[in-house]
Amino acid sequence: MKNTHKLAAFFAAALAAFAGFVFSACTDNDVHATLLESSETLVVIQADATGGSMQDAMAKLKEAGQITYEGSESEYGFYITSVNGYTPDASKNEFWAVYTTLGEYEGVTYSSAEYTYNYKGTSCASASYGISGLPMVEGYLYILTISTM
Amino acid sequence: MNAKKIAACAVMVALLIAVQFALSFVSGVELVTVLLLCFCYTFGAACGMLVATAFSLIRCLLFGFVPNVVLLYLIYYNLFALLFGSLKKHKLPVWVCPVLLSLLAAGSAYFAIAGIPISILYQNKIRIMFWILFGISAALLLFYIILILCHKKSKELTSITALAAFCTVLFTLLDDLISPLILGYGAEATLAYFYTSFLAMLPQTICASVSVFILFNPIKNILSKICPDPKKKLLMD
Repeated sequence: MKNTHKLAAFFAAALAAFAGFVFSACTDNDVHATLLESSETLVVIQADATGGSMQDAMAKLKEAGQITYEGSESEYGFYITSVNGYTPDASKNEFWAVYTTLGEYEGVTYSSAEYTYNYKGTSCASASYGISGLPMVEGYLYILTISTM
Repeated sequence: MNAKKIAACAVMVALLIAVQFALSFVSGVELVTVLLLCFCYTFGAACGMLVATAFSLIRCLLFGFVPNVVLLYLIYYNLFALLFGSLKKHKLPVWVCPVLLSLLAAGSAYFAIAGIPISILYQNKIRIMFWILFGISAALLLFYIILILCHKKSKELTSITALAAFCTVLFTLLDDLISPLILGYGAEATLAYFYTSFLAMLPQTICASVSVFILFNPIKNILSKICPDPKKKLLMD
C-alpha cells in the first residue's frame, strides 16, 4: 500500500511538473499599422506590413497616445472592456465587435460574412477571433465598433 | 436526505461559487471539477444534482445571466453529478480507464501532429497544449498498467482522473453544440467557434486531470468525515 502511495506521489509530481510548463504564443511585436479613424464608438486600423496581432497594433497605437483601451486576458484571448473611454451599455446589450476585411489567410478563416459592417463602401466581415487572435496582414482593415445583440 | 446533508450541499454550493470566482482571474485554472466530483462521489447523485442545479443558477448573480451558459451548466453538471454520484455503488469496469486514456492520448497526438485550422497566432500554443495532454494521458495509462501488473487494488484514482478529463472534453463539445444553436450561428461561425473552443478546452482538461489526480483522495477523505459511509459505520458499530 505504501509503495502505491509513493508511486502515486511520483506520478502526481511528474504530472504537476509536466503541466507546469510555461507556454505562450509566439507574437511578433514589430507591427506597422495606421489609425484611419478613432472615435468613442469606432476605431479603424489598416495594416501597413504583415506581422503581429491586432492587439499588438492597438498596444502600439496606445503607446503613441492615439487611442486608449482596457480589457483583460481570458482563455479565448484578450477581452476588451472599453475603447477610447467608452464602456458598452449592458442594459442595451451593447458590446465591442471586431470586423475585418481579412478572410482566408494561410488556410485559416478569420472572419464570417454572416454579419458585416460597411466602412466607407468597404464591406468588413465579423471576425472569428478577438484582437489577440487576428494577425495583421498588409493592406487589410481591422475595425472595432459598438454593436448590439 | 437529512439536515446535515442539506447543510453540506449549501456549503458546497457556496464553496464552488467562491472557488470559481476566485480562479476566474487565472486563465485556464479551475477547481470546480475536482470539488464537485469529490462531493458527488461521497454524498451520492441526489445531493450532487441538488448542488449542480443550485450552483448553475446562483452563479448567475456573479457572472450574469447568459442563457446558453446557464443551459450548458444545468445539463452538464447534472449529468456529471449523476455519473460520479453513482460511481461509489457501481464501480467502473476495468476497461473504461485504459480506453478513455488511449482515446485522449491518441486524439491529442493526432491533433498535435496534424494541427487544427486555428489562427496562426495560437497554433504554437495549441500544439504545446496538445502535447502536454498527450503526456498526461500517456503517463496515467502507464501508471494504470503498472497498478494492474502489480495487482494493486487502488486503481480507482486513475479511473476517476481519466473520466474527469474525458468529461471536461465533453463539456466543451456540449458548449460547441448549445451555444451556436442558442446564439443562432451559421455554419461558418459554428466551425470557427468549435476551433476557438480548443483554447479553453485544452488548459481546462489539463487542469482537471492534474487537480483530480492530486486532490481527489485528500478532499474525499475530508468529505467522508462529514458524510461517513453507512457500510463502514455499521462495521464500526
